[in-house]
Amino acid sequence: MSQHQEKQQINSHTQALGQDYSDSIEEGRKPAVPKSLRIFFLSCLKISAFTLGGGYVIVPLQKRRFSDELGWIDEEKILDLVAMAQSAPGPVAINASTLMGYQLFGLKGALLAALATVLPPLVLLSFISLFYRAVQDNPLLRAILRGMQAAVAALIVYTVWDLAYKIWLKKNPLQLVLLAVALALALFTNINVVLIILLAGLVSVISYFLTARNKEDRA
Amino acid sequence: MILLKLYWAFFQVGLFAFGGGYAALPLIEEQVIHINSWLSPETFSDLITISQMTPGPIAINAATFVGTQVAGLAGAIVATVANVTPCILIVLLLSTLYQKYAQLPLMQQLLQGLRPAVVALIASAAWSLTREALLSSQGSLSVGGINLFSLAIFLLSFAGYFKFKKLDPVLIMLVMGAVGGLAFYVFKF
Repeated sequence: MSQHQEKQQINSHTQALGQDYSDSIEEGRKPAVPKSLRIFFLSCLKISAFTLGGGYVIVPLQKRRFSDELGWIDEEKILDLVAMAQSAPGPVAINASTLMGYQLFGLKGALLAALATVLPPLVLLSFISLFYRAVQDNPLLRAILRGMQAAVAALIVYTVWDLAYKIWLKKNPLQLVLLAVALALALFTNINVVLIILLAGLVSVISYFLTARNKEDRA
Repeated sequence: MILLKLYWAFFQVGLFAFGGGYAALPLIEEQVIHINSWLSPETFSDLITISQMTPGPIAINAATFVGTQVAGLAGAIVATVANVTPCILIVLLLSTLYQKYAQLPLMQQLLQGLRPAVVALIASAAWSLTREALLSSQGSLSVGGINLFSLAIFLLSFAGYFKFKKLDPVLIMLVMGAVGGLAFYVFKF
């Protein structure tokens, strides 16, 4: 079926469920807020300040800010950026924000994003390492962090559920198989993240050439 | 001179740290303890703890920490910049490739296949994080290796994100932090 019909079907599915996913599937919609480097920089700063408990929490935070709230980028594009962020070395958070910056504003966006992402930890940690013993042994602080940890874990789980559900709705067999296999590999083996991505990429490329050949045979 | 060494050490860390924050730790350990003797193993262990407690990627936090210990503020800046230089360069390269070739049908198919893989990887990270957040034998509310109060915070937060989509998740995180402070520090749950 055509892409447009596919989208309509997904929209009616999700509306029937009482949730409006249509925003994230539509392409080319107008940004809710005009793009501004200043807003972007401040957003990256804030996101970096709350990237607690592992780099991956940046995905829901970015999705929420740049896709849902500001409407500057499609949700699916964010997944592309995350794929690239994981394929490169270095912290996912830095890569993801640099990529977002480049996507939205080109080179200057990328550099500003990197700066904004690095600043909070740089400033905070330079300061804290002067008296880190007191900080790390502080029981109240640890208690507060424990609370936040559970909340952060829940946020990432929620985001994964949301994303996986959308993939499920599309009913694309290749995507569903890759989702299951990648998940099994990630959970039950020690295979490096990058290898899993390469594998998925390889499978996609092979499948492309297979389907291209099928079309030729039929024609 | 020391700044140059710092730069080179963390440049290497940044270059080879594939696969998420924790992948950087063995590399940092090698540079910081074995090659350069900048930290003792005990301090390194403190470093890991602190890096997890503060916002920001572990690798960056670690770089800043070591940099400060070795050469003060200048050290912190040098180490952090060195750590992110390789990844930023590589990421910029990937970006230009993406901009140039993403519309091609082959690339579209490739990206379509990568998306579920990415979701799977984030799911795997979510699993580890959830385990870490919930597993605990300390506290009066720990049963069977799981801390029930952490579980309660987890479920409440999840319900919050689900029900109040318009609400900034950071707010929920902060509230739960405060709740955690109360529960774990005051009531020793």
